[in-house]
Amino acid sequence: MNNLKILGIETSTHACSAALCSGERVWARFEIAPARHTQLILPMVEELLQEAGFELKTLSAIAFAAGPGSFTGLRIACGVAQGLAFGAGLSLIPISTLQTMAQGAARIFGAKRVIPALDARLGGCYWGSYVLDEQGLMQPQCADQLTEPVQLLEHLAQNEQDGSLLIGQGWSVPEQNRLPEFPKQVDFYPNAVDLLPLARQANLDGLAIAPELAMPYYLRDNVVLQSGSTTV
Amino acid sequence: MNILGIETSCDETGVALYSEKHGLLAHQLHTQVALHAPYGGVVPELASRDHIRKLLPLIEDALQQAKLTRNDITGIAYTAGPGLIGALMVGACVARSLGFALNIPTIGIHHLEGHLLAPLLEERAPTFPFLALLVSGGHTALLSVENIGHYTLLGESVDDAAGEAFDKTARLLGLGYQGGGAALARLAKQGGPSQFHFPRPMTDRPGLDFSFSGLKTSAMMTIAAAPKDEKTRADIARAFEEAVVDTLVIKCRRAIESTSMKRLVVAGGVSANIHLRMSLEKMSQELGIEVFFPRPEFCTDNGAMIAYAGYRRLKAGEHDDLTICARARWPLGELNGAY
Repeated sequence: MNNLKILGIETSTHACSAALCSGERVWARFEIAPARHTQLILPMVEELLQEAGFELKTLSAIAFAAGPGSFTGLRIACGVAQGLAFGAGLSLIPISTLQTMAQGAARIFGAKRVIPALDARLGGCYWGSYVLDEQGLMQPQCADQLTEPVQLLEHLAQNEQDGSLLIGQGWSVPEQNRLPEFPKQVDFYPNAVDLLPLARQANLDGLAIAPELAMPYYLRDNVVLQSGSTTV
Repeated sequence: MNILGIETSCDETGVALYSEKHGLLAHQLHTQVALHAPYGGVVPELASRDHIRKLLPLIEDALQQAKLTRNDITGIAYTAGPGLIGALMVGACVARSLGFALNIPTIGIHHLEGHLLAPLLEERAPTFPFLALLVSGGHTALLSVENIGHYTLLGESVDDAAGEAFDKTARLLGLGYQGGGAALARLAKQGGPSQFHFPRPMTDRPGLDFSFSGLKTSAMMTIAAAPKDEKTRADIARAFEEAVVDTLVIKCRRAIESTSMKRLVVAGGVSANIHLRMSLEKMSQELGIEVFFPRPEFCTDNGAMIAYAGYRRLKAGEHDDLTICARARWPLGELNGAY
């Protein structure tokens, strides 16, 4: 299990990142680069493979952050992952972007409970609730959601004592500043490095799929009435 | 060389395989018409979502049709623009990454160059140089084509494209949102000579530019004022089609006379129009020139024309770097290659 070689790709937000692991060794690239993902992502992958000295086709699988996030961003990661995996004969492992963020909060801040949130526009936000398990992996407490901010605040009010860390740009919405007692890291982006431990476990759990089955995880399906405020 | 061609610029997912030795080996198309029909037009986000669902399965189908495996592909061409940016991005991401994984060159192709070269897929193909009339839902243009990558724009529409005028008039006549132009042509067949007459815009002044928005307005007013019975609708459709076709023929004749070109290539969705084909055939006989059309299925968006354009450019040594290239806008003037 520990010799698995996994490549991770993440382009759900303004950040663009790629990471590669072989057992415990990790190589990574990360950049905040709005609208430059298509220029950066393949050079990042190439650099990682060169640094590690691996050929793409010798990897075990490719993981990508499937969403929620920017629709175009999700399709960049999914499309790149599909193309790489189809060409190299590999399987894909889709991972929740919010779970990836939560895993990052565990890595950086030692957080045990995390509520990641992303701005979903049109007055909505994407959020999830994650708790660290004994293997050091962030596990969902509920399905990732798309709601109005008020429902997220209700969820917080009900779980006031659990000491969750709030992360992500979804917490920058003004009305969400009404909960000062919660520790917050608004400038927090998903990072491909945090896909790797989650993907390793998902691969063991048999969750790797054929590239043509890998799809973005949009959460928002009503996309036609873009101008309405009731689309959430 | 076996070139995989990928087209995702609007609401068709097209995939094809072109072999240097054997010509076109496979051609697969998935159209999203039914998906967008309830909304009266293409919804860009829905288009992008459908492309990413359908692209890899279509590539697999094309490989199977060609009896090839992915390792037999030696180059990949994809539509890099112009078009819907989200839709283009899907094709570009998959194509560029697949090329990286297979360690083969890729090339982003201008959608209109694909259309322009589509007649070269036919057995009876034009030789260079030739005059090209590009006529589709998004473009109406006359170009002088000296060679691959050497195009001179002689004239284009200053407003609506001819296909757009067709589609919008079709909608006013109660025909569907897309393929409306084809439905209008079918309706026109039922029509006869009538009192309806539409202008032939910009034919009374020199130059090779087009304008179709006035014609569209004229059609709108005529349809609003006319009875709604089937016969009248068919007569209006016929008069409208005649006006568009006449206008295109007048400009082609003018372009041929001023350039002394001996060959005319007609491409783009409207080039499937039978009335236009017959009128241009007749004109070509009068002028003693040859006229070339793609087969009807390659008049509309498809992967075959992208594979072919990619084959020509890759063979000339052009290829992308690792940047995934997708451009919503890409002026015809910037189309020329580096060679």
